Amino acid sequence: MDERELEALLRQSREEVQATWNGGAKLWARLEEARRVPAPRYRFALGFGLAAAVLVLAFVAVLRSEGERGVRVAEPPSNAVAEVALRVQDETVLEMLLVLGAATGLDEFPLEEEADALDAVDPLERFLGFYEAL
Amino acid sequence: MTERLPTLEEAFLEHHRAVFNLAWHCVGDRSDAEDLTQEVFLRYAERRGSLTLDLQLKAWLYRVAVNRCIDRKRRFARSLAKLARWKDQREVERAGERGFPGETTLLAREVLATFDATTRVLIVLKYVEELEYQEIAELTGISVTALKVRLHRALERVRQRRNLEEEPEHGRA
Repeated sequence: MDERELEALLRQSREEVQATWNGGAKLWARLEEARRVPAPRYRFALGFGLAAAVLVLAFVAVLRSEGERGVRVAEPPSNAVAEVALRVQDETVLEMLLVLGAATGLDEFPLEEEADALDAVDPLERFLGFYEAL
Repeated sequence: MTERLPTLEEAFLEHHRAVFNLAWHCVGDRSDAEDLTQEVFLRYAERRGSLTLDLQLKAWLYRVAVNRCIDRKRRFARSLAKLARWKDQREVERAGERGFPGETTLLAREVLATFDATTRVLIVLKYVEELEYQEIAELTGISVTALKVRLHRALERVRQRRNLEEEPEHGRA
């Protein structure tokens, strides 16, 4: 096939397409339909926005849930032993004993005015002894 | 100078056949060509408000179509299934029922399918649309010299292929 043959074939093909393709009306209907729906990039932006909003809401919900759990942990426990267990991390043993005594309302437990008398005794030993008595 | 650009409907009525024709010869598939034609006119609808009144509408539509054709065929080239469909003989059978594509159109498609995407677009613009080299250069952004070289090489390959096909027959003779 040389250039002239190719040219003739393609010209004939063009005429044939012009004469035989009759999809114009259908295509116009499709075009009008396509114009009614948002363009792909707007659809993408809309979808992305919605997805982002859902993610943010989910994240906030998780944070709030975690926060509530955190508050529960920080709340004073209902029993004195749990209170002591919480405080043991950052209080002295003597303070723990005082807290435990106050929380349980045990008068016989040595309070601050007796603390000097306890200096001679290992505070941890005193605490463990009292804890066992509970 | 016109007072306003054509509405979408006016533009479609006047140019849709030409755009479809160009698209069909570039992509070789009816539904793809119709999709591409639709995309071109949707693009016009989107951009109409920002286009200048002295716009050469047909050239603008062709430019959009050419870009889409090249992009689309680059994607299609990666699909063996798509290429196989080009040679699907059932198209010939269906042609009798619908009248499109006709026998000549299918033969043209077979020939066009042997070129790469960009060369095919250039050949379509030159021989189907019968545009001048300068017009094709403006549409595609390829220089006139480069166009001529590219088309010459493409036609040379066609000639060589034809010679190879004819050689065995000569041998037998």
